[in-house]
Amino acid sequence: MIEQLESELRAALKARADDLPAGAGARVRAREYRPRARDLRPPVAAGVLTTAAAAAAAVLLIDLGPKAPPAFAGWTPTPTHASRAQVAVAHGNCTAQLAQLRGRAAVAASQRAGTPPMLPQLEKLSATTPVLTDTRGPFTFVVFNSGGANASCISGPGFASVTMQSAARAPGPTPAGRVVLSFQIHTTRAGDAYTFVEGRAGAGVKAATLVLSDGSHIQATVQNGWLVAWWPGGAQLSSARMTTGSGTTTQRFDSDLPADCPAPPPAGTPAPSGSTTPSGSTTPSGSTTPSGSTTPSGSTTPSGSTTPAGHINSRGAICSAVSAAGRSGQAAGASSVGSAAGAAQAPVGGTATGGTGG
Amino acid sequence: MRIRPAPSTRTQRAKADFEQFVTASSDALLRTAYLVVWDAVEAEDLVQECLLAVARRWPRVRRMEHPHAYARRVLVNLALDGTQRRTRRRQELVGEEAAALAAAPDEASARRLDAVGIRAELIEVLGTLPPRQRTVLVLRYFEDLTEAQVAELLGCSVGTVKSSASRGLTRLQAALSPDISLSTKEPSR
Repeated sequence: MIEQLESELRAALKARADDLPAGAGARVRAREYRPRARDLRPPVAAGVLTTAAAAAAAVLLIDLGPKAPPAFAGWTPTPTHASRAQVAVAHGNCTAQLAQLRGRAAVAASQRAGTPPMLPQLEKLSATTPVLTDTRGPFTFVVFNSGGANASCISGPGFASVTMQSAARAPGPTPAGRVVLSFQIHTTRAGDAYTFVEGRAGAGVKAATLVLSDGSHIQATVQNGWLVAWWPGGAQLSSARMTTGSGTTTQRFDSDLPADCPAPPPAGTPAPSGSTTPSGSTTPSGSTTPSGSTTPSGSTTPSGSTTPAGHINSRGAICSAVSAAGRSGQAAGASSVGSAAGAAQAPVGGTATGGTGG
Repeated sequence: MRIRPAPSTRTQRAKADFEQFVTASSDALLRTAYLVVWDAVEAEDLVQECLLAVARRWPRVRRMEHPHAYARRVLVNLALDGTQRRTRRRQELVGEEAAALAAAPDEASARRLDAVGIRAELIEVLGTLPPRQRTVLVLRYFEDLTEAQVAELLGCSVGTVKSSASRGLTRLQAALSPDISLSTKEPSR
């Protein structure tokens, strides 16, 4: 009888809904949503003049508004100080997503002979503490590393994304004063594009300002030998200006760009708060070769199962030390030009540019 | 003379009202989202996205008779709008292990529900229905909306809702064990 099916369907739907993992509601409620207090729409009866004035005001608002689309409202090009609560919520979200990935991998393993190569890595990652935490307004980027693999997690209001990479071979050392990129990923959130880069910072790198293909400058977070930055939009990373104990060097990541160095940020550009590596921090063992990735919603592609498709190795090049020093007013550090290979696999729903600028 | 509250007071009141709304509605929205998108992480993302959208329109939404119904409409439309993106994402998963992952997430819950007979089978089949078809069933049989209310929420005709529900029920029925097979008719209204 159709009534019996409908009745069973009601019960099944309720049972499925009851199966929603605990903690999901608390995480949703923990977000900062910032409701509007005033309706921005003008009253209908206000007349043509008022409407015209409102239109002008709207144009003005658009002109003066932040560059970030609504999905990334509150994002800042320089890292911001995060409250303990924000960091705790972000770490909790990321740990929960990793646990979910691990659970899925375990289920997959139970259905097939052998253990998926990603499962041990996920188990290790779930047990580690973050090596880097980058906050930009309401958004928090966390990097976990277990030696053989690392996971990157961006979270914010209405937004959470985990990407996992595992190393196919032992990473090489990161040259002192240099940055070695693990990958650059372009993806979207609610139709709005964003890009993030992750890599290793060699010994002595205290801070790094990234110059994008659209000319904008992003201050990266450098912690514990790791480097991370992300930005709304699809602009590519062109170069990085590193501050070391001995001065400033510029490292380029796109060999197709013009030979001269991009303009450094204007004088007085604020430094990131609490985000630089103390001088003399240890250099990590080198760059990873990512071979797996996860979707923003947390499902995972296998690590090491395929040869990365579409990866690009970018060449590093040092801008003229005189030019960089002249523009920034700082002494240029001495560096050597080198190159190294790396690889990254595109995340599902996005593209990745892997490689190093060593 | 009506005295306008100071902006700070107004902001605080809007925030307090909204927090109250989130506290009261978030669990129900999450459950609906979970059933519509069939993935817990995706459901969380979706509800947060929905609440952000509601927050942006809060001055109007708070004056509505049923703010929750409005939020549910936003949620369902966001879910269906994102279906193509999510499907593409799943298709781009690489290798057989990814295929196993895509197929496996609901095994655990299905096993837990095995004791209640056909419910586990129904849940398994529900997960394979096209999102729009599943959404119609969720709104009809979980949210207990009428066909007219579902049609209004989805912006389609009542006939479309009827045919979607009918196709969904037929698929569910076909997947059930022979000993509990049921007749195929139009769903009751």
